[in-house]
Amino acid sequence: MKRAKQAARQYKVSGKEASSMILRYIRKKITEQIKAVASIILYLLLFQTIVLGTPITQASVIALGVAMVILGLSFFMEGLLLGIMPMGEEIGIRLPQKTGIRTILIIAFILGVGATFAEPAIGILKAAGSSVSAWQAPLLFLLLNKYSAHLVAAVGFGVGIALILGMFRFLKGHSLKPYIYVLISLLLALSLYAYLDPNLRHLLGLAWDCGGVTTGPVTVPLVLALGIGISHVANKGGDNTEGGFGVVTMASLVPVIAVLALGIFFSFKVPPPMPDAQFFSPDNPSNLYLFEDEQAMRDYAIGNAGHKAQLQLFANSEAKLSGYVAELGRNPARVRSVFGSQQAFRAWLMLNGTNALKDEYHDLLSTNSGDGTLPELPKGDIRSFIRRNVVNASRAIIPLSIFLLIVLYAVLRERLGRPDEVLLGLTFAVIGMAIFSGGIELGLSKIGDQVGSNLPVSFASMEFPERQELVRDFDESMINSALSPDGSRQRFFYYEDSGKIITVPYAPENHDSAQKLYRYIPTRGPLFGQHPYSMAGILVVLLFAFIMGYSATLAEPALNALGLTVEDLTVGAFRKSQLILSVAVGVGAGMTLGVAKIIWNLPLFWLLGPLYVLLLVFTRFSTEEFVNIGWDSAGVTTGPITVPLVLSMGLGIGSQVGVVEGFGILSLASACPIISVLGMGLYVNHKRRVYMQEYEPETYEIKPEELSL
Amino acid sequence: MNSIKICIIVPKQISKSIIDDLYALGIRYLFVEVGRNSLLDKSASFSNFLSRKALITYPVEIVSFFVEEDDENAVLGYIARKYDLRIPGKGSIYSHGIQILRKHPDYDLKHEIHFKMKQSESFFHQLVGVSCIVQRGEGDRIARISLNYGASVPATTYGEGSGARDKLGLLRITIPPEKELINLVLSKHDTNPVMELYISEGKLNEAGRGIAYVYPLKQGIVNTKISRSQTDQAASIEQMVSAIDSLKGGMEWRKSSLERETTKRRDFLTNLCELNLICAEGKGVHLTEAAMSSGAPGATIGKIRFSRLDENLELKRYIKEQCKMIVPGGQVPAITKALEETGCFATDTKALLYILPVERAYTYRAKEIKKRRL
Repeated sequence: MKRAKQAARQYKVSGKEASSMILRYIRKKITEQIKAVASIILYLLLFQTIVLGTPITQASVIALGVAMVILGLSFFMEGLLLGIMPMGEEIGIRLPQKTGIRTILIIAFILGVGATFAEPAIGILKAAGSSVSAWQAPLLFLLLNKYSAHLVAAVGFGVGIALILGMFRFLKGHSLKPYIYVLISLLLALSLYAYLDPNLRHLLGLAWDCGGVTTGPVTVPLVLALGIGISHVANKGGDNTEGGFGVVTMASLVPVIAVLALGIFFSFKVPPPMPDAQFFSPDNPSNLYLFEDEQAMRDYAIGNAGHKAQLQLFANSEAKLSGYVAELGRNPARVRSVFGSQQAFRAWLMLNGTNALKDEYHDLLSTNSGDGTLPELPKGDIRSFIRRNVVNASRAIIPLSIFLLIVLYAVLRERLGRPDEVLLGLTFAVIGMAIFSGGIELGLSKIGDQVGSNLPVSFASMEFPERQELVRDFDESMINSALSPDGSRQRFFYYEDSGKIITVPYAPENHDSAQKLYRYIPTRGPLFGQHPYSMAGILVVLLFAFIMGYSATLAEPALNALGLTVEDLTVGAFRKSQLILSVAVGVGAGMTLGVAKIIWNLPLFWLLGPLYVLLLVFTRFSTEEFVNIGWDSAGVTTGPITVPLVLSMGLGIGSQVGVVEGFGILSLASACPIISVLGMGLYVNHKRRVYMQEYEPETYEIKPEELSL
Repeated sequence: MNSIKICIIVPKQISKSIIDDLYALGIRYLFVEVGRNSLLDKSASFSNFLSRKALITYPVEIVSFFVEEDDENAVLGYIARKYDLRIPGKGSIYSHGIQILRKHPDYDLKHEIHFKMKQSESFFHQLVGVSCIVQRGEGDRIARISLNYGASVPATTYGEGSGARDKLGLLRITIPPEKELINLVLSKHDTNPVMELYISEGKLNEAGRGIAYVYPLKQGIVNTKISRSQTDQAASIEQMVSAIDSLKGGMEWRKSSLERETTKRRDFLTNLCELNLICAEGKGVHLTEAAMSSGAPGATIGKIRFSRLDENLELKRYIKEQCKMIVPGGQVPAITKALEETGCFATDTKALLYILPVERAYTYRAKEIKKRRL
């Protein structure tokens, strides 16, 4: 009956009209995303081909990936605007009307913890920490490997507390500034303590990066919308909490505190950093605390530590070590897990293997190939690739949505204004996220990896193992010596590479004297400047980092959502493009700083500390409106587009420079936008004051005798 | 119940102090909308060289409240005098007659205004309000019209439209609901040319573009600072014009010099009302559906802040939804009845319904409707 009445009120639209409406709509949405993504993709492609002069491998797969990113982003953004944000806002409006402060805070906590587990960033952090060695940064190693679950839990707990604080602030109508002052002071104090402790010092980068990474593309818009709703109804507030901003800020600050606290707790149980040989010696029994068991420790040492350290674990017996490796080598899966690649296993055999061992793996040593460092996507993997992305997308969106809808329908006993629209939006969001993250895997991070790994060529000379050649009849007599001014000798030989005679430094690990084979690995670079690490080459890298950060930010979906919210709440007085551009400049600057940190191995504390002190000053003089928006944009910037690119760049440069850990770029990339947004706010307000001086509330004092009561 | 609605449009920086003064004068509840004012940037700069005159925007707040006719002059006079609203660029203030049809007991607060101004301020009469509702993104183009024409400063607010869109089922998502409302106060004599420009430049004679309508005002002060320019005289042109305006007691004197001949005769809609429904946040969609089922053609829903002092003079703030509907005068009783049946004036939807007369309106009308009328 009701349905019939409803149907009567509907317009009849012919199939042709409907399809033309849908087509126009799709075209508009896709054009928007093409505009957002174009600059970063074009930039990476041009940089790779023109500046680095390297062809793009797997171009077709990358093209497919880029198309998927655009399509996925279109779906995902529409899903955010139709489903996730309206749902969050409606629930936010209802919550304070129907329940008490305690229930709201409990729901906020569950939401915070849930969001962290739904969009786990631990994979990203593990990737960024893959170069961390157990003896150089034991604590960091422990938290990234054996106790990575504790790390996720600490971050989740931190986000939960952050949401509680954020919602509490809305309900009480507090200004964001005091929260920032207290949290930042606490953070800086903890960071100083950590900086002074040799073990905790290496944890700083991870802890600060956690803050930026945790707030993902689903969590941010959801929390923002929920905050808008709650701040509307919490009528105690003055202008302070207008707009629902500020929760994201706390969600990027509190987890840092949680991770540092976790680190301080474990810092008493792990050995301090030391050389590898000493670390694995029997005199250091606490080394086992870092690993699951004895075998894991041995595997790790063989894959990563020096020969002397490896011997320590086998009672200094070459035979025992060789026996262990021989057994290990028969199992390809273990070779992969211990050495990472056949290549590394081969290098280990050359350098450390006994002759018996070398004989056993003769075939491996004399094959003339890299082991396909860039494997094509195998056919069987397509199914698992799709399944993985669909599962991840569903996990990020569905459980949280169900939880919120249960709260709405069962606890609040209310219903959605437009349930069909929200449901469609949520479906769009899941579809979009699956396509989009798949596209990132295939397209964006592949091209990012290629550029990132080739990037150091601009300032240093780099090896290209995938183009290696096996040189036969290599003779010791080929090797010459060169003398340097301080009297040290460098061994080299002449080699003819595609018609040109070049000098190649001699590396013993590539020389198999028994077989008279030498594995020649070509090198390139430095492209800019005469010498390695010349200023010209480094400047190119720094500039690259700036432009990459800038253009990647333009495509970030969560920042787009924040920009739309800001534009909406200020009725266009603060444009989305204005916010995104100033954030992008900040991210670019942060990336540049981050890369500088890695190249020159600057301590993160001395970069972040002054930045945040400066931020406190800026915050003090900024209006509440800009403080809220500026600090929130910090948590939003580091999203699914920026993070993989930062990782590939950081890993590429880090592996060349040989740093202990490559963390910190993300935290700098989220601190700098706050400065740029607050700076822009101060500038805009200053301009407004200058050209609208008459708006200063100078008033005419009305005297009592002018009134008749 | 007839009442007077007073609107004050001022930059955000001074609205807070005006609101505090209003409470001190005895106003017990008021509404605040967030908007932006636009003005032309005439100062010589590089951007002007590249494009048309740049538009500067700054955030404003639109404060509105209802008073008895007896108190109208006192409140208008006090605020206008204290904040020097006569100086161009400070803001605008105006009043118009409305009729409150139904209200939830929450709005039954009585203002306690117990003063009169000894010296009565002279306000402009012969004013009208012009509102134009267009798709989001088109607002600046409409805002430029009155600025380029030299009339007055427009105040833009945001809203979401419903109407034809909601009858499309899920297909509605292909039409963006976001709208911009451009509110303008100007002299009666400028109405025809400005309306004509709205229609021709805003292409309101095409389907789905928007609507513009004119409603009468009682009295007020208009913000005429339409551009920012470096002043190298003792007074800017706007100041001189406004000085003559107040000497002449109105803007009629500008008529001969500025009014353009309208060439086209437009087919205006008449006998309309602007129906305003204020309700709790999130309820607007259902209520406008009810209104539309009994004859309202569409609605634009925007956010509005409702602040009131409770019995202990403690300040409470709520975000509400304001639904504007342009409806034929004859439909008002039916719509009121339909709304009443939803219980919105008694339950926690806390609705308030008032109307103001609309002189004329213009929007695209499909051919069939025209035929049927013939």
